Amino acid sequence: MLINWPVVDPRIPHLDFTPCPKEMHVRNRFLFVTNQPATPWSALLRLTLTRWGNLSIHGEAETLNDDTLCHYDVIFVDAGHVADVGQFIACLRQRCEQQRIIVATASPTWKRAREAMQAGASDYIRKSSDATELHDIIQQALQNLPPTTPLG
Amino acid sequence: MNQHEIIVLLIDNDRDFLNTRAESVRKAGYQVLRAYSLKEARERLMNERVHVVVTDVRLVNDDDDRDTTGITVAKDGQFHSIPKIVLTGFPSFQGVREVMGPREATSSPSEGMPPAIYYLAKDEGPAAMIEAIQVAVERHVKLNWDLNIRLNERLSFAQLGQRLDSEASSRHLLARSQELEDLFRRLFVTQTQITIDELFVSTSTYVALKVFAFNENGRESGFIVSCGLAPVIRETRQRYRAAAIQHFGGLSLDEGMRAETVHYAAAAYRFMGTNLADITTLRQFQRHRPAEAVETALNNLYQECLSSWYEKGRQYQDKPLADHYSEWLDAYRLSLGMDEFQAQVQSLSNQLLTQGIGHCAYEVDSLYFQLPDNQSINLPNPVTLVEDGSFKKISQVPWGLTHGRVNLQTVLVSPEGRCWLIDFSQVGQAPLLQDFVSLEVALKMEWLGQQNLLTCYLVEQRLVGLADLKERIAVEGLPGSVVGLLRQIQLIRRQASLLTDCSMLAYQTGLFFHALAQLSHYQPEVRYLRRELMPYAYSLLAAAVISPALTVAQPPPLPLPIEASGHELWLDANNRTLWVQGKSTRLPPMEYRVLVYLYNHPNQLCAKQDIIQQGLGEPYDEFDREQSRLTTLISRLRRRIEPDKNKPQFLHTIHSYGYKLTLNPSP
Repeated sequence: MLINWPVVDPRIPHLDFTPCPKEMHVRNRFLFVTNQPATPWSALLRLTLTRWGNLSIHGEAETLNDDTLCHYDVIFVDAGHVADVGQFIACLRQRCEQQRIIVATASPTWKRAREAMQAGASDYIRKSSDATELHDIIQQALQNLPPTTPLG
Repeated sequence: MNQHEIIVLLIDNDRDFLNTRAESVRKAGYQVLRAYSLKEARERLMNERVHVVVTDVRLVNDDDDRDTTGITVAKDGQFHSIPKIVLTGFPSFQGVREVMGPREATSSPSEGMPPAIYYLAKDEGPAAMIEAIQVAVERHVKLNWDLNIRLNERLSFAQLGQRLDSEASSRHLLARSQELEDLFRRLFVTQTQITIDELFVSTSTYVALKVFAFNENGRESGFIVSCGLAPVIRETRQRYRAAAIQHFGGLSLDEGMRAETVHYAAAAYRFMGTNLADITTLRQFQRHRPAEAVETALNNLYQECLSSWYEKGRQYQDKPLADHYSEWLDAYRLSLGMDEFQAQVQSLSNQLLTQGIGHCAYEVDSLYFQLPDNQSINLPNPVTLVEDGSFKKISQVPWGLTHGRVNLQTVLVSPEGRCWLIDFSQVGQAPLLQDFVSLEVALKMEWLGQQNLLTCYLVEQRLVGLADLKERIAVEGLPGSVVGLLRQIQLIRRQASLLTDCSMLAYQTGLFFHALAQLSHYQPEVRYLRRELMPYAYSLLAAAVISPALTVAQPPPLPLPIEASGHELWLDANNRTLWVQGKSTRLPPMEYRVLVYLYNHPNQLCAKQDIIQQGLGEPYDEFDREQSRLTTLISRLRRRIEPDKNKPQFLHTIHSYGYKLTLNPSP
């Protein structure tokens, strides 16, 4: 019979292997999928994202032909400029397992939200002029979250 | 897939709706559990075997759009391993986003599953719900129903469940054993058969098993499976990944092989080395192999397995080693106050007498052992040393990365004497002597547990007389049955000297506290068999034999300082001495910290949380309503300072709040 020390001793320094969040000086890479980068919301998104990192803007077809998709950290998808959001997201997700994919729409519905999430989107947001809200969404997307896998 | 074994929990406060849907689910071939409230749902999830959850959002008030109690279940990290479907009469995109969308960074470490894997509107009908359940089962339940599980005849899932949750009622033990079976079906999801062959390590929260797995081609792979309570296994895995994987060869963590259920988790460590079938624990190895083979194994353990660990981040600490170990015992609630010790010795002595092993009489300052052949041994009371804190000062103790649980079960050995370590639950920063002391104690328990008390005493007396870890241990005059043990101890101590540069005094301090910790497990109300009693008797004896070597000569009593006169209670912080009505008393470290905090807040109500966090510098356990550790420290402090501990003058308890120290009580 031996001493069985209980585990999880809070006094033993925790050997932390959790990766640190990206430092601000590390340039994040964003992709914005849209055909109209000049709309007010698109302009707001572009302005906000360029503060966080490097931004590329592609249309749907160009995105699907992009071989460097997995180099992006976060992909914003303007739902109004994609023919079939669910299918598009599923294609992206097949190629990019780790990336955050955020679908933005001016007219969100719960069914479309469900479809996007089922296909593998990380988030589904309403286009809003609230810069703070957008900032929070981007910040959350850049946190070290587990990857989202297609659900259905 | 065996659909009939899938259990779906439906949660809805609308009984009619729930019962109707339950019937649909049952007809689809699933087993159904029902919960009509959040409380009921939690009880089901904690006590029953559940594979899929379908939950309404508004479980309290259907008319209140702020009622999201159903989502509480979905987001509860404890149930993250169960796929959940949210079913609501008021769908919204915000709702979808909340349950299927981004998770907070502090959420439990799921395998990528969000709080809910599907979101349904009630008016989509039962067919949509059944389809969602089917998808959940196919994609997320991931149970290998075709896995053939063979267990060693001495093992069963029911036994494992009992070991890991001894307080579970018999009604819940069945669910626990089924949950453990599910765990292994998840862990070996790609295999066709597993054979669970041997139990290496068994504690109240964790087991390590030897498992052989066969794929569809019949290829065999050996694994060490670590299985136990989910938080324990997660913590163990983190420690392994952070430390052991860099320093320890022969075992690699197969990242794909992890599984969790509500209560349990398991990790399979693929065994890379020789054939796992030939591997045995050090306990079995040293029982059946010649002494030379055991010594080869011990040398391999320290020189090949552990030596590289001790080179990483080594530092020398001046913190008194006795303080460190005292805090350790306090943290694990293994430290004994004088009253508890007296009760233990009394009970232990009665049982020793009944078993014909001997007898032990207790005095405040001494223990008196009477052995069957009329031999008597008078030794100091070891708990007095802890209470007084009069340990010899040990400076420059080497600290570093240690395994922390090196014993006869956690060391695996091949026939050639090559060693591997398992059980990384205690990996972390500690005095380097820890990995040597723990194995020496384990060997002593193994050998001396079968001996009589006189032999135990002679061995300890011989060991405590050594001045240096490298010194040869003379075996002359000792029974032949302990010669092998002493050779092994000698080897361990030489390795300790070589690899850690620790002193004999430090080493003996470690042995002393290990003995006390061992003794603290004794339960006076339990009737022990003879072979169960001997380790406790030996621990008591060992602690008593070692204690004089650790005790500093008592200094002459301090004269009453001028500052103390006129004060009923006065603290001399420079000498860490408390003066109570003109008499001095030294306090052990933890009691001293509590007193200092109260003393610095004289005549004030001090909350328990503040005393723990600010006085002791430790986290506050919200779930321990009684704060039993603080209560114990206060009780001991009261025993020291109060003339009558039942009628406190200085240290008052404010029920449900905390304590107050009155420095000059009114007469």
